[in-house]
Amino acid sequence: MSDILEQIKAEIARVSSATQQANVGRITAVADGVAHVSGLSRAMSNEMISFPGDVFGMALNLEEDEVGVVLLGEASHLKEGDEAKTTGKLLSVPVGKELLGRAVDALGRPVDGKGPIAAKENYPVERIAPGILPRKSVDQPIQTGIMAVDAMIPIGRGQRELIIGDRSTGKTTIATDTIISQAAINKKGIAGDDKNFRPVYSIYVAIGQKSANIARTIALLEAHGAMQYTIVVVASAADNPSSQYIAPYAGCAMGEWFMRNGMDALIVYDDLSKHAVAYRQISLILKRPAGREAYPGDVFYLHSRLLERAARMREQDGNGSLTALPIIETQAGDFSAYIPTNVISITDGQIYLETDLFNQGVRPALNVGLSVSRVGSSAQTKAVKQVGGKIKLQLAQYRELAAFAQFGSDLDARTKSTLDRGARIIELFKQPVAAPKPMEVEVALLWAMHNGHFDKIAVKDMIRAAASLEEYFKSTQTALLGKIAEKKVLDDGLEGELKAAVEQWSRTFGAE
Amino acid sequence: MVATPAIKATARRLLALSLDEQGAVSAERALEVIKVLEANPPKRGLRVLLKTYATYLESHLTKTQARIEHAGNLDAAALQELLTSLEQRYNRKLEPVVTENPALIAGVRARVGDDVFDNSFASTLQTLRQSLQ
Ligand SMILES: Nc1ncnc2c1ncn2[C@@H]1O[C@H](COP(=O)(O)OP(=O)(O)OP(=O)(O)O)[C@@H](O)[C@H]1O
Ligand SMILES: [Mg+2]
Repeated sequence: MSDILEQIKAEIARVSSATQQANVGRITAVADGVAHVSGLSRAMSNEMISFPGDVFGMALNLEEDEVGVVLLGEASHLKEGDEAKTTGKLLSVPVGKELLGRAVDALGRPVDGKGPIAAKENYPVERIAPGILPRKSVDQPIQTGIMAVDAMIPIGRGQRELIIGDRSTGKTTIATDTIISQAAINKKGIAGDDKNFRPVYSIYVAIGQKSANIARTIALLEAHGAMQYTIVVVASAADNPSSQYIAPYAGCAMGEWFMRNGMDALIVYDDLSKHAVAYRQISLILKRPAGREAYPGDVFYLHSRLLERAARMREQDGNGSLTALPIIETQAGDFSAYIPTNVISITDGQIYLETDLFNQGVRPALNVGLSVSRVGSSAQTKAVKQVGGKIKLQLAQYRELAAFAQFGSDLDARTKSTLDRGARIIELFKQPVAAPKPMEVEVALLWAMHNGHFDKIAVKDMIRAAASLEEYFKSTQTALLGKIAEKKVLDDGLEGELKAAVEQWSRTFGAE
Repeated sequence: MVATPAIKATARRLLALSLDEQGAVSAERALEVIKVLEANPPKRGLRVLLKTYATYLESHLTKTQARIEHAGNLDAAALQELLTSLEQRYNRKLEPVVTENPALIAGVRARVGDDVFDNSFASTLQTLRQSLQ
């Protein structure tokens, strides 16, 4: 008790010794979460501005005699004539491990009813991205647990990989599966005795989505034990455009904390199309000149400065990383629209999902031809590369030849074998929601495919066969899986063991 | 409605017309400007224009004034000292406008342009409350 008294006394002494100096202005107009404020001549860009009733905003537009301030949180009581005040602080959010397991708003305030968050540090939401010097090229994998992605579009820590597709093509699922996969790996790694194990913490930023969808995502993460390694930043469709505009930068600041403290983090921006729309709305209110598709001219910078902040740091700079998975929703598959092309040009590759494939039951609905990872292959786990390296090409050939498939028996033997292999790979890559596979299981399955052990299985039985083989490995070959997980590369010895195991399984599966 | 850049530009021109040779707001000229506006209103946006003009007038006015609010006693010597230090800071003559404001509880609050200097007890309490949140 006396402690608190001392603290308050010290605080009183501190604040009363100084004359408070501020720069003030008055609201001249307020609408849609944006206040126009006259005065505030000394406001800095991105400075936190305070309003009556403990409302805060961020100075966005600095003009000669007026400042445009985006208001954060509930601000409907503000009106023309109210006083605004500079705070001398850049808009910041709480950061740190205390936020794991929590859902927060764009200012880092809890929205999950689980009580206050005792964060020890704050980071500014806007920050200049690390320069070239402290960065290092991507060389460690992010295991998404989605076999098609890990085999053909590998993602490395510090990479920016876009997930793009029309509505309801499984975009969010790719991201949440990746988060769930990290949680499974973290759990095992932290319990294990590898001193060099590096957990990956996740931040999921929901922008402009319906609250029900966000709740579903949180429930999914919760159900798979992933929330304890995850921070969810929420700016739903019901929140004002200002909160939606700030949310990704706030989430990024939380991710940067991990990176700057030598840890690895993964951030999902779901999605940046809605983010751009929120920004367009704000710009409209601020009367900024509009350009293509009515977006303001600096919309490119909106996303480039956000995604630039994902990086892999050098050893001497702490060795941390921030991997970004931005999501973009296309309209009728048109990725040449303004926002998609912008984001494609900023990222290191894209995972392109397609409605047609999704409807045919190919899920994840990955278009292999249009999906790439420009930097991830140097980070891909050796063993996966050994068994999955050729698969992308095989699938591409399959797609080209598939048009001929209708001629059936007239095909030459090589064409036919390409078609047979392709059809089975497609089946092998079908994977349900929230069922990420560990790397060693992916290797075992891909090895079996690569070496023709599925060739005799009818295409319609492939899913069942792959599930059976996976189950067989998990129940009877745990030692072998453990060795693959540890060595991360297949030598002759391991290949021999894989061969023996898969052949044994073939006999039992064939006998069923 | 929000002032468009065109309206702001017009308001700025009206402000320039409302200043005397020394660059201070002249009530006489300002009233003249409003009379002319009334006689020749723009096709649209008169209200916004007037509002913007008023904001500019006020902000110009406050730059040449030191608006001093106080709670409790403020003797002439202390007032003069405060005024001198503000004039030195801004390097220009300031016209003192002194009012009593009991809401400050105790102390002084001075405003020049949109800068505010506040050592009132009310602001101390406010800062304290925010820092303990
Ligand atoms: N691999 C999969 N297997 C089976 N169902 C899937 C798979 N991926 C996604 N789905 C289902 O498809 C639906 C849409 O998925 P998801 O929400 O991930 O898509 P989205 O592209 O993010 O959609 P939106 O445009 O609404 O954001 C969900 O019901 C999801 O469960
Ligand atoms: Mg989605």
